[in-house]
Parts: sequence; structure tokens; C-alpha cells
Amino acid sequence: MNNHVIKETMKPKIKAFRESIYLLTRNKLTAIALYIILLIVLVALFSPYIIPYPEHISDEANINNKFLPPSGKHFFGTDEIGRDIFSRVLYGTRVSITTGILSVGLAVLIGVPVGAIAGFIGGTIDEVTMRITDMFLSFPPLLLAIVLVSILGPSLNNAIIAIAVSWWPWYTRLVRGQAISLRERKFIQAAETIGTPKHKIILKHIIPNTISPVIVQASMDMGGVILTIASLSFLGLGAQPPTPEWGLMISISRKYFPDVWWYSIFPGLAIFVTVLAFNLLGDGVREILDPKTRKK
Amino acid sequence: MKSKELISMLLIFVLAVSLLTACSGQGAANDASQTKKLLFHVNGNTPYINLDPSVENSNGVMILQNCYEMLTYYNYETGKIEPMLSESWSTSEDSKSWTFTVKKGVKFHDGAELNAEAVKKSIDRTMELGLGASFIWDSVESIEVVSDYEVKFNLKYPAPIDLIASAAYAAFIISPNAVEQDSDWFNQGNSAGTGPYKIQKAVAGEEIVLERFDDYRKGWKDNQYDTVVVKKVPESSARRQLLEKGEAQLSANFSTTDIQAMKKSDTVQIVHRPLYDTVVGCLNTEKYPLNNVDFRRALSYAFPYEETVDKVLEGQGVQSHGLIPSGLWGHSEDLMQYTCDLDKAKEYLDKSGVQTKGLTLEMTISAGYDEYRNFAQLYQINLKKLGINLEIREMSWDTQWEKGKNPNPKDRQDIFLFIWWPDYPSPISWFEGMVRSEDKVFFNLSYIKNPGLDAKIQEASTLTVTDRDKAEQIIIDMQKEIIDQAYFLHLYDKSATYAINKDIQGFTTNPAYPTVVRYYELHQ
Amino acid sequence: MAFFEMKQLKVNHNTFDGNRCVLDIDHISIEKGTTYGIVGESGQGKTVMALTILKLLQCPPGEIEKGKILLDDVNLLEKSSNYFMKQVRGKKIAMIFQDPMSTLNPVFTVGEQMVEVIKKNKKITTKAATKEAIDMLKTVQLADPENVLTKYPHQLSGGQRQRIIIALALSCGAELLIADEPTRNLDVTIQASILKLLKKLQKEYKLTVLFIANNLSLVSAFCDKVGILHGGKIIEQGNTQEIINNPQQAYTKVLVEAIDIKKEIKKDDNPGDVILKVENLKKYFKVNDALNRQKGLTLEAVDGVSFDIKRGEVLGIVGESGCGKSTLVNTILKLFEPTAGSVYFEGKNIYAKDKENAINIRKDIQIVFQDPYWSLNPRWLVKDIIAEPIDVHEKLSSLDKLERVSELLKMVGLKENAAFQYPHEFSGGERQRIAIARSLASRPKLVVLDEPTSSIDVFSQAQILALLQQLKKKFELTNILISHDLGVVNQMASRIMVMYLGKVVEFGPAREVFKDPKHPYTKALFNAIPDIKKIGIEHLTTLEGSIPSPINPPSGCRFHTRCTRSKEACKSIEPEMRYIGDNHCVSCLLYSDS
Repeated sequence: MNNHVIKETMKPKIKAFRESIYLLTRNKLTAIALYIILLIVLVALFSPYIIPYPEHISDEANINNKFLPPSGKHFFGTDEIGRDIFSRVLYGTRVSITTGILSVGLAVLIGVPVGAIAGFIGGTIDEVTMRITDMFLSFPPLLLAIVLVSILGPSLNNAIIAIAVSWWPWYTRLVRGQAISLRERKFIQAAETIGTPKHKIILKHIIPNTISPVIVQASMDMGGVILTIASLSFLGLGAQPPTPEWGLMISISRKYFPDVWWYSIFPGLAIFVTVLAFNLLGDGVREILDPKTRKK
Repeated sequence: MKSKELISMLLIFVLAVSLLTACSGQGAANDASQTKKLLFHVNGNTPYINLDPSVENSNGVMILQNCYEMLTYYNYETGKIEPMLSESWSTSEDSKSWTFTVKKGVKFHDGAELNAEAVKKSIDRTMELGLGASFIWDSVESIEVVSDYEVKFNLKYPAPIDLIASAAYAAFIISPNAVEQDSDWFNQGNSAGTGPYKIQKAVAGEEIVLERFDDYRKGWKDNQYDTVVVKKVPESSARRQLLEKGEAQLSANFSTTDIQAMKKSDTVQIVHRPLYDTVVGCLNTEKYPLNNVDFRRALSYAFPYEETVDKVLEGQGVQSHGLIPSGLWGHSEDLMQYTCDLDKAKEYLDKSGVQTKGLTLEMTISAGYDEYRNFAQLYQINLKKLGINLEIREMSWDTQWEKGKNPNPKDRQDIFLFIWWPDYPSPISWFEGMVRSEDKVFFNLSYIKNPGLDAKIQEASTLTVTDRDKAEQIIIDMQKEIIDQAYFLHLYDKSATYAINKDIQGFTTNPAYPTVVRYYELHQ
Repeated sequence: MAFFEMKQLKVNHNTFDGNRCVLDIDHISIEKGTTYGIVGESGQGKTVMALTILKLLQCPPGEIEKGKILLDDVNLLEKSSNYFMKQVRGKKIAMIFQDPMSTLNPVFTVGEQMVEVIKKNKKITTKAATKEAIDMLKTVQLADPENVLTKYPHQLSGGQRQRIIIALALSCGAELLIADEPTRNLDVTIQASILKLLKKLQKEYKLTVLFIANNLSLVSAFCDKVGILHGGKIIEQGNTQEIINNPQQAYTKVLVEAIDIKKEIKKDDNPGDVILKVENLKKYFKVNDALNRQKGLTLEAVDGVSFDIKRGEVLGIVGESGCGKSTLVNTILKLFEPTAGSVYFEGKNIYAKDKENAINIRKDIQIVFQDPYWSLNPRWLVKDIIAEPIDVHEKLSSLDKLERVSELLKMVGLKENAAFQYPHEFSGGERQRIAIARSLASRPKLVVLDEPTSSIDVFSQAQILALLQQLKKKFELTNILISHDLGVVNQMASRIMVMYLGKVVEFGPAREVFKDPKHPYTKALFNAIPDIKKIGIEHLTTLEGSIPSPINPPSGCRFHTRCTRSKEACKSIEPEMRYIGDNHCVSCLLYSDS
């Protein structure tokens, strides 16, 4: 494709995006959430360069300074082998955001096509897919993730896989419903009369039109997934030392609470703020995409 | 979201944090003043797995050692074996036959009397069941009742039966009336020993209540404890609270911060007690690159020994010299110790020729021990400086052991963090357990297959009875070779830290009987 | 002082893209007891006006900048919402919408809903309210009102529902009735009866009616005065007769011209060989009537249709809802598998299973759908929409594709840079052009036009029709045209096929069928549409009853239940198609006796 075509194609898409941002920021709470998330993402991107003790992530420790309370030198105090908690909590945004995106991304990548195919094609494929989805949905996702990680072995990568495997059915169900109603739309019938093959219809017509609820769900899920990763790490099933993951830090700090209160409180606050911000964002996204739920 | 929802989220967060940390702190003991004296011992783990004295090989030893007694007892201070249920004993020239004279007038909990028959029946039962630590009796061919109070052990090969009979496990003498019973009967809360305490009530996985056996052979004084409750309270902070409030009087296994805090308390005293526990890192000699001796030496020079002992353990341990801890014969302060020297480590690394690019080693440690995780992280940092990536995996013991026993050496861990303590106080235990080659993996988790060492172990074992000095020399030589070959990371000898109520007197422990507190000796 | 007046009213719509003025009314005044019609096309501000009057406009994004709305000398814009709720809505002003189904609550019976409304406005007992409800239903000429009260909205026909809505609107004594396109979703024959009813009620209750419509013909039948709404402004208003006979503005002139159906239009087509042949095509659907707990029923949507189309001609298919024209066309397009019968395109059986054949048929037969909104994927750029057929049937580089797309855009009269915009940025008419461009992209031979102009404004209608004829000539296309708008059919079709309940009732050259319809149904259909040359509604023909369900069609001649000229024989004998002129056939027992 030549440059002119690409440039022209991008223009309307960029305009649509800017319009969404404008709508999002109209609601005060959502605007705050958006700024918080922006801040978190910036911290995640730039943390290695802005934190005061970058070596405390995995290269060094200072056991002589263990369990120091918060001070000017260490804003959040130090941990059990003398590492700066402030640096580690900030770096932890990287871990949480990446794992969150990977988990949700993987779940979407699996769940959306399966749902689109099941909903569009219907028949036995739909029945079989729905029964499989029902099986997964009958487990509470956290429990399922715990079981999966126990089988695969505790590590952050396995936690991501486990969460993706527990989460995908929700997207399938969401997209399948959409696909079933889209099936009746005229432009789908138009595509059929044009002769567009089924797989292309699913990929190019059905899936792009189911994106809105998927985006809402995904932005709300980010918060839940980050919490689940923290929970798994808390149980020893996710991140392993020395990874500065918030859940892992709370797990380690538990034994020393309340003497070493700073080791539990600050990672806990980080989880709280992040999850809250994503939930608010999800609410806001839902409002602009589905105006019927708008409150007066 | 409205502000109402924000506030409720905040509340939930606060609740969650406090719940997490205070969880499982199930309240204190059953009550205060009674005319009967009560000792409340809170334990980090479940107090017992199996109450069958022939079978139990685990936590339950701390209960059984208070309910049952053995023929002999090991005095760790003198290093001598003392009579317990026996009066005296003798051995034949070739040490293949041992005769014990049993004490008279000793009663079991069920009223039966101790005699040679009882001894034979107890040990026979243990050997027949073949479970737990019954292997300590492997040398025994048969047991004979010579007379009412004389029992004779006939051995297949020479072995120190006087020492073996003092073992913490599998050496208990059981009432002849109970010998026919199966483990279920014992687990229902029945005890049939000669020890000072009987079992009153047992709740598996939770707690056990012991009451005084009035007819105990040594008799009772007024200020001793009539009842002992041993209860599982997993959280270190919860146990500390109970001790500080005076609701519990005895506990161990605290986090370093809890110990520091209790040192300042009026109600609690902190006591350090020696153990025969040694903490080692077993290096998987069957897996590349740990099959390269220079690489292993490099790993040995990378470990932060001093920091671990001083800062992580805060003095609750001392760096090991070789395999055998101090207090046991076979220990030698002259044995070489590796130090934390990254330059030397680099030297050996280069010498080994191993490429560190992309090299990842896996270290498995037992879950729930902060100190392991802490020094493992320090080790991780040091190894990173050498370009080696160390993955730390915390696992339950069962999972860790299963992995270590995986038929394919490549699927096993690289470093297995391991504690060893002897079944009875002899250095042979370390060698037979961890060094002797095995066809089927048991506890030799460095997978050593050294026929020279195997032969020496056999020799030393035989000589322990006949020529102790020679045996000791062989043991020290073996340790020299083991250290040179760097099969293990010789980390530290552990000590135990107890927190007891300030008013308690007579508290002492014996490293030959780890985790055991003899409640009979305590008084106010 | 007029009963209802709007002065200097300005309403804006504020969005991300900027602020737009949607309504700018200088002055409208309506005398008591008269009907005022507002004619304008979709998107011109009619509904905004209605909502503003009732203070139902969503603000934001709406904004009432200035103006006065006076009802009996009271300025409604200065009153609070509370005032509106208590005094105005339902009491002084009532409104009926175009979709009665969405106005009625589907989970309550008609009786419950009517009684609730009546009780709320007049403090009387349930029994009295029920009696009043029955009286109202009689007034709106609903047969068997006691029975109707027990039914749920979905169990009634569209016409019945609209009558109920009218009854509800009147039950509380409203003085001003705003009717927002009340007959939009009704069949032509029902439409006429509703209009007659409204007229009668107006006289009886001395109602003032503000009638909003999107075409002049309806307004001409019904209203005393009319205002033409274009771009938010009233560009012309006055006495209906004067406006129609002597339109001043250009736009008004176009509106007037567009609805003259009896005009003779010369069509120059030279039909060639037979391109499509349909033989006894049947399409039945299996349905379960869950409501009446009946399973295994068959819906006979298309019941034995045969015809052929010659290359180069335009076949118009006419009929009301439920006649089967959409199903027929969808089956020909292979969106459905036929239950029986066959279809031959250029001699080849289109239902044959070989793959190559199947793909090629798709290339040769295309369709332009009725709904320009949903027939285009809202998330695709226009260039992708138009190029979709090209992607399926040919392999072109992206530059070549873009060239072809630009060509097509030019052909349908759109700017080249439209290729990089989204469908929602275009008006209905422009979107239809995009759909037309898409249908031509694969260079088809037969193009089906399914109500191509019914969802777009009258102004664009003429342009679209001219465009379609132009393209037909240029590409030597054959067309099947489906429409309920006889004016459109008159303009384009060379032959007409009239369908009723799955069967063809009349078939012949357009000129003949229009001039002299033979079948009773065709006659009724043609005479139910308001003729702009005749003012007033008395001349409209209405058909009693409603279209029977195709699940259980009447025996014998399917039309006999509503036919004014049915005989005893019609109830049992199914008539066959008979020729009564050359090329003109009818299926009616009136013509079967030789």
C-alpha cells in the first residue's frame, strides 16, 4: 500500500479515537481515572530511569539496612534484605501492567474468535462451544487459575497463561451474543450475496463490530486481572523472588506486620489505586459505548 | 462510581489488609486459673502426624517423647549414652550381640509392667511394620528374651545398639497389651507408654492435650505441670501475641522481627538452643553444568555466608565446617570453609569453561521459611554478577522431594536446599543418608555416585562400634574430599530459638531430640 | 390569537464536531380545530420540534437557545418539567409516535395500560375506567373492544395498535395532538383507514392536530395548512391546496413533482433473451408458535411463484408486508435454500452444487438493500465497502483497487475523497449511492433493488432513480425492483408483478397494470395511495381486516377474506394464472371463466 493510501486511511480512525477520548473525559471521575492510568503507564515505562535505587530491583541488596522505616532516603522504607521499597513498588507497575495486558490480551485473542465463530456459524459448533464455555464458567476464575498454576508450576508466565485460560470464556460468551444478532444485519447478508467467504465475514465484519463491548469488558477486566495476579503471587503461585510484584511483597511482608507496616501498606495502596482506576475507566467506557445506561 | 462506592472500597481494602495479617489468629487457650497447673504450648505446625510410636517419623516426636521412653538416652553434653528404661547393658566381643537389663517396677499407662517381653514385643512390632524410621533396626537379626528382665539383641553385623536404642524415633517401648493394636487405635488418642504424660484428647491437625501419669516411675513434685495443651497456631505474630499476653507459655519458630520485639517484653524470655540441624544446598551433579567440579567450586565461592549468618539469621546459626555440626564427634574446625569471594568464583568459572550466557539455574527451597528466601535472594544477586541467572522456587516439602526424585536428572532442580538431622546421634547418619550412592533416589540429593566414598562409609560404619577414633579419622577424610569436590554448599548449622514465659524454670533441650521439650522437667 | 404558536425558536445540537443549529423557526401559528402539516425529510428537524414542544429533548447535547412556544397564550418554554408532567403532557398536548409497538408496554395487556392511563388522569374507579376504555376503543373503530382489552400488544396488528395509541392519546382530553409520522410503518391500505379515523376524530373532538410527515401526499390528504421544513427552517407555508397547485420554492416544487404516479413515463428498453427463469419456486419456513404452544408449523412465505425476466428489462415486484417479495428475492440471491422449484440464470441452475458455478453466480447477481444505514458496515471505510466484491472475485493491487473505487464513486456522483470516510458521515441518500457503487463493483448482470428509495428523502429519491436508470443503460443491466411506492415502480419498471401472501396475483406490462388493474387486490392497493391531485381523504380506498398470517393462509383464494367481490367458490378453489391480454395475467376466479 502506498503512503498516501495509508495516511488517508488513518485519518478518520484517528479522528474517531480523539472523539472517544473527548467523550471519556466529560465525566469527572472517568477523567481522573484516565489521568491516573496515564500516570501509571508512564511510571511503568520510565521507572528504571526515575527510581532512586534501580539496582535494588534484582542486582543488589543491602542487608545492613533491613527493615528501615520510611525516611528521606527511603520514602517507603526498606524490605527484608534492605532494598528500597519505593523503587520496587514503582517498578512493580511494570510487572502488573505487562502481565495484565498479556493476560487480558491472550484471553481476548482466544475468546473473541471462538465466540464469533460459534455465534455466526451456529449449529453443532455453537452447541459444543457453549457447553465447553459453560464448563469453564462454572468455576470461579480465581480458583481455576490457582488449580492451573499448581499444575503448570509457579511462575509469572504460567500465571499469565492460567489467567488467560480462566478468563477467555467470558469473552466468548460476550462476542457470541453479539455475533448472533449481527448475523441478521443487512451488511452481513450483503457480504454473503457478494460472495465473501465465511472466514472473512467473521474476521472482517463480525469481529470488528463486537469490539466495543470487548473493550469495555477488557478495561474492566484489567483491574480484576491485576488483582488476580497479585493474589496468585500472594499465594506463592505467581511471581517469584526477586520480582518486585505487589502481591508477592504483601505475602512476604505479612509475617512482619504490624512491626514493619510500610512493607504491607505501600504495595497494598498501589494495588488499590491501580485496580480502582481501571474499574472507573471501565465504567466510563461502558457509559460512552452504551448510552442507555447513562445516569441522569 | 459515586463517592459512596469509593468509601466502601476503601473500607474493604482496610478490612482486607487487617484480615490478611491477623488471619488464623484463633483465640487463646482454654482459660486461666485452675487449681491444676496448665502449660499451653503453641506450635507453628500441627503437633503430630501419627501417634503410633512405631511409625511416627515427623512432628509427633515432640508428643511421643513425652509419653513414651526408650531403653537408653543420649546425653549430648557428655556425649555418653545413659540408661533410661534399662539398668545396664553389655555387648559381645564382636559387637554382634547386645544384652540389656531392664528396670524393675516400671508401670505403663494401662497398668502393665515393664519387662524383657515388653521390650521384645515393642521392637519386633516396629521392625515388622517396617515404617517410619524402623530402618535403624536393620542390623538386628532377632531379639531374645533371656530372662524376665533381660533381653538380648542378635545382630547380622556389628552395630551400636546402645546408641540406636536411644534414637528419637522408632525406639519407643510400648505396653505389651497395646502391641496388637494398629495405628488407628493410637491415633484415636490412646497412649500406652511409660512416659510422664498420657494423651487425654487428640484432634488431628489441630491440638493435643496431655495429662499427668500419676504412676510415673520418677514421681511428681507440686510445682510441675499437670496438663499440657499443644496447639497449632501457624502465624508467628499470633504466637508472639499469646506469649506476650501470658496466655501461652512456650513456642518456637518466630520471624526475626517477632524475636526482636519479644526480647523487649516483660513476660517472655528468648532462649537459643543448639541443634544438630545442618542446612546444605545439594548440587545436582548429574546435570550440566553442575557435573563440572570447577563450576561447583565457583558456585561455592559465590554464596554470601557471612551476611547470611550475621544479618539474615541474626546469630541463630553458625557457618558449617564440612557436614558434621559441632557437638558431635566427627566435627572438625580445621576443615576448609568456602568464603564469599566473587573474584575466586570468577576464576573457577573461567577454569570450568562453562558459558554463562543465558544460563539459568533452579534452586528449590521449602516454603514458609523466611530465612531461606532471604539468603536465596542474596545468593541470586551474587550469581547475577557472575552472569548466572538463579530462579528461586518455594515449594512444599512433598513437591520439592518429588521433583528431586524425578527419574530424568535433567528435569530435576539444580540446587536443592536441604536440612539434615540424624535419627540417632552419629555422624554416619549424614553419610548414609546424603552421600552413599543410591539406585533409587532417597535423600542423596546431590546424586553422588562415588564408589571410593561408598567403601569408606561402610568401613567407618563398622568401626564406629569397635574403633571410634579410626572411624572419626575416616569421617574427617571423607569430609575433606566432599568439600574439595564441592558436592554441597555447606551453609550453616542451625540453632533453635524458643520463647518461654519468664516464670518457667528448668527449660532445656537436647539436639539429639530436635523439637522435643520435656514438659516433666519444667516447673514454676 | 392563534391557539398554538411558535415564535423565533432556535434549537442547537452541540457535539465534539461543533455546534449545529437544527431548528430555526420564524413563525408558525395554528388555529384551534385545524390540522397543520409539517413536511420535511429525515434529519430536517421534525422530531426535534415535536420533542421540544413537549420538553422531551435531551439537553445536552441539545440546547434551546431562544424562542417562544405558546399554547393558549402560555409560553411553554418558561415552564418547569414538573408543570409539564402534571399539566401538559397527556392533558393539553398528546403525542402519537410512528412505532406503536415501542409506545405500548409489551408485558401488560391493552386493557391494563389503558385503565392505568385513564385512572391517572381522572380519579375514577377501575370499573368506570374500563368502561371508558371500551368506549374509546369503539370511537377509534376497533371491532370487538372487550376482547381487544384482554390482548397483549404483540397479538394485535399494526393498525389496531395505532388505533389504541390514538385512543390513549384522546382519553385524557388533549386539545393539541402531535402525530409524528403515525402511518409510517403501516401498510398502504391500513394507512388510509387510520387517516380517515383521525379526520373523523378531529371533527368530533375539535382537536387541533400538528401532523408531521415526510411526504406531501399524506399531508395533502389530511391537512388544512402545511409548512415545508428544510434545513431546520420553514421555507414555505400556507394553505395546502395553494402550496400544491402553486409551489414557490424549488424544493417544494421537487416534492410536488415526485409524487405524481399517474404520469406517463417513456421507457426505452429493448428486452433481449431470458436471463432469469423462476419455476414454481417455494420457500417454507419451519416455525414454532411458542405463544400458542404449537410446534411444527410451516410458514409458507413463497408458495409456487413462476416468472421470467428478459435481459435489459426492469421487473417491478409490488406487495405489502408479508406478501413474500423479500423472501422470494432472498431465495433467488441464494441466501435461502428453496423448499421446492428451480431458478435458472442464463440457462444454468443456480442451486447446483459445484463451487465454480456458485462463485460466479455471486458475481453476476447483486443487490442494493433498502436500509442504507445497516447495509454498510459502520466500521469500514467507504473504500473497503465498495471494494469488497472486487476482493472476492478478482485480485487487484491496492492502487488498482483504489482507482476502481474512485471510478465507481464518480459514477454514482460522490467525491473521490469519500473513499476515506465512514458511512455515518453521509446522508441516507449518499449512503444509498455507496451501496449502489458497491453493487456494481463486480460488474454484475442482474441487480436487485430492494426498496432503494424508501429510506431516503424525497429530494434524493428522484436523483437516485435517475442515477439507477443511467447506470442501467451504461452497464446494460437487468433489474428486479421491489417497492411499495408505486410512483417509483411507475418510473422504472417495464413489467410489474403483484404479490399477496406468497402468491402472484397479477403480472403484466407496467403501463397496462397501472392503467387498468384487474385483480381486486391490485385495485385496492392502487387506490389506497393518496392522489395529490385530489384533496381530502374520501377518495381513498380502505381494505377491511388485516393481512392473514402466512402460517395458516386462508383456503382457496388467499385474498377472499378481504375481497369485496368474493364468491362462495373463492373460499375453496385456488385460482390459476390466466392470460387476459398479451403478457398480462391475473390469478382470480373472476377472470377464470372463459
